[in-house]
Amino acid sequence: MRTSVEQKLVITAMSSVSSLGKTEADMAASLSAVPKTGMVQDFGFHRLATPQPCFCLSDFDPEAILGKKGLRTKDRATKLLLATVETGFKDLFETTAEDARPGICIGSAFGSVQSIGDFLSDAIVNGAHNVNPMAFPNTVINAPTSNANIRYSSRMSSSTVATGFNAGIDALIYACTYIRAGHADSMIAGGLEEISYYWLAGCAKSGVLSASGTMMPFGVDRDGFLPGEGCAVFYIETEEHAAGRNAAIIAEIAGMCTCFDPKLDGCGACQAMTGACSSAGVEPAAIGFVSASANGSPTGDAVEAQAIARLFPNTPVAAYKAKTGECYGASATLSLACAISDMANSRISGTGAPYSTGGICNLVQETRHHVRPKFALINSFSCDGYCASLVLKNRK
Amino acid sequence: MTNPDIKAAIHTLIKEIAEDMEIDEAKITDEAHFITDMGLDSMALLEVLATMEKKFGVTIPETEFPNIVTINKCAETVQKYLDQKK
Repeated sequence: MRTSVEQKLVITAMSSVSSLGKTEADMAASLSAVPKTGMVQDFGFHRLATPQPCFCLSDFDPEAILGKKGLRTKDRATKLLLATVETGFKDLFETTAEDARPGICIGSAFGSVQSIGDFLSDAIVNGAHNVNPMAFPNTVINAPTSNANIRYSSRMSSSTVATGFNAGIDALIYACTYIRAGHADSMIAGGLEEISYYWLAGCAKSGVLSASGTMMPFGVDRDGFLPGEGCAVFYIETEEHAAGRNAAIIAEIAGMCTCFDPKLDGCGACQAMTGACSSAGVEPAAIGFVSASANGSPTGDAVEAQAIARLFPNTPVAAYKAKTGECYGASATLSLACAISDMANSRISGTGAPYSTGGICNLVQETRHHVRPKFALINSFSCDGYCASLVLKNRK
Repeated sequence: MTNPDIKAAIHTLIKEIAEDMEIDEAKITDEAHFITDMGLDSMALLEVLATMEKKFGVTIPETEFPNIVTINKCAETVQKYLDQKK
């Protein structure tokens, strides 16, 4: 096994479950359609005072994908991850010897907060003596990942990255680093986020949710974001490993960089984007389109727009969150899946419903067809200043 | 004399667990051993006991756990601590 940092890391399979659908065909179709939102209000133990518009998975039926066995006490986050892995990687696991099956690394901002909150609520309301012991394992942040390891008999690695907004992209970086360090020659990695009562309550109180119920990244009238949920997972392996099993390469993770922006002035964002390009060995001008992290936040979008304009003044900017909502730890990985889908279909998907940006950036609002970008830059910028960027190379 | 509601509640929960674990419902009898006959695991037994404690408002000491191996034994134990409350 080669362990050089020069070793190319490629994506040979991907799977996602989100408001864009459960299959690659669903995603391709949804990306060219007007975004659809639903409503959430009930969360079992708790209920929101008023319904919240969001990009939720109202028709998510884990039993239809996973069967009934073993799901009764699993939480929604675990079911989301299992359904995503089952849809995209069941065959891969079944045709690979157990001791050679890839490890799993998943990023999540809020992880098990719904299960933790419900467990504590139960203890507070009914007394600690009356808690359900079967609900306790769900409170462990690695529960979804370890349940995937158990279901697919993956012995290699099991980890959860919890770095907030950027957890998904950091999970990919962790997996790449793990492979390059020689611990494995392939990994399954991605991002996961369920909509939970607790983070919705926090976001509502913080005033970051859109009061108008709209999702307008870089829009002049943007007033916050709509929450979303989902999971996107990728099979990452060395190019050599992929060749050894005759796997078709979808894309290459060509470069990556993370930085922190303590002053929130865009310097960290610029550094992350520049660093990712440098890591990929390409000039910013070679980037065919930027997948922005923008989510409709008045300040965050402005900082990102300025940073993008500084480095990529003429580059088209896609804002996939207009169609997935803000999915926190899953957002960047869902954007990555969207970018791969767009590259495969020779297009850059627009935001759907048109709105004014005031020329803040080259936002793609109407889908551009017949484009064949070789490189795409995926941004994941957090409101706390943490910035991560990844350069994707089209290999199809 | 065991309250039939207790046994019915245990049966209902065991059936739910058995369905989730794909255990043959025919194996669920009043005298079948939870682990050796039915194939339940220790976590499932903890759930049964915790649920019965909550439902009937009793506290079953851990020293009783090794004896609670069948639906009948479980129902008798819950009844015993229910009677002690009176």
